Amino acid sequence: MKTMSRWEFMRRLEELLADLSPSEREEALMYYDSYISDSGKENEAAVLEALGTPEKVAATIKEGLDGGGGEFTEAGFRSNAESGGGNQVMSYHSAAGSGQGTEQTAQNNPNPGKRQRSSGEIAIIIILVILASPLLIGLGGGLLGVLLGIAGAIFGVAVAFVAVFLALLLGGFSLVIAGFIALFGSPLVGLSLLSAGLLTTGFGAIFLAIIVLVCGKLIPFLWNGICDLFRKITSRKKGAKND
Amino acid sequence: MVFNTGAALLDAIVLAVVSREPQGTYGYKITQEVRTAIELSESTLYPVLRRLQKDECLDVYDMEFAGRNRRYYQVTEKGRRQLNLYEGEWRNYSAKITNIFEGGKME
Repeated sequence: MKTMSRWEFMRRLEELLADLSPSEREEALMYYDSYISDSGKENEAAVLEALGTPEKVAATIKEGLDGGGGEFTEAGFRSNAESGGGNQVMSYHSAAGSGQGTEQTAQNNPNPGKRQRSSGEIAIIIILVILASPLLIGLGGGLLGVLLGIAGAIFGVAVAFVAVFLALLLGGFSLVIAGFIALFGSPLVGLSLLSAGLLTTGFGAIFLAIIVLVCGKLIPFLWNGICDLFRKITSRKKGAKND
Repeated sequence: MVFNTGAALLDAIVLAVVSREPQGTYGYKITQEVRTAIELSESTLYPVLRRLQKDECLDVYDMEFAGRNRRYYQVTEKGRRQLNLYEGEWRNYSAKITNIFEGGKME
């Protein structure tokens, strides 16, 4: 930023001090006018730069006026007013955080750096969430796909089991029927066909038991697990967006 | 600078600087002299001087200089008492700190 002329500086300072009592304003203006004069003509530009912006000077003056109570405390009003620039010492620790932006607004708000930073942080969080949302959706979608795949596989296995059961049952029954019919012609063949049919039907019954077990216990268990997982994912995503 | 200068210490430094000039001294010169001891922004001293003036530790008078009025600051009797208090406190405080620093080295 280019330094303003002495005249501009004083005029701006006068504007900024308009809400002070006339005597206070005169006092301050006279002090700074003398200050610049006493620095010498050749140092004028340097001293104007060293003083900082009129906004900062005005803020310092005002903080001094209403900072009454704590005159002899360690953390005086000065450290609040001076937190904008680089060459002050009173605010050695607090100057690091709040950068140049403080100077322009310091006059109205004694501690604007904090507010700006927190709203900035909020904006960053929102941006991060927006930027991350494809990733979140992608991750969620991927997980959903995997779960659907697992469910499909289970369904396929279940269908296969049912088919095997039906085949065994039908095969067993037809063998038993064939055995009965053959019993009249050749008892040996009929008996062996009958026993094979009963054996097959028995295997079918075992498969039925397995199917019932899978359907009754394993599938509900898996289904609940999937539902829980899905609920967790969606609720976490919502939480992240609300933050 | 590593150490912060609290309001009381700054008051003490300003009173000491002004008291060195029995005829009084002016804002620019006070600022430059304070700045030989501590780093300080050029605009920090006005509120301090104004407050010390309101507390009746400093007196002001205007005198013509180079065709304009210059405001001079002088330490009042109250300001001198205040300065004595600060100086005593400072001696006490700095002696204790020094003692800890140097005592620590010995052991």
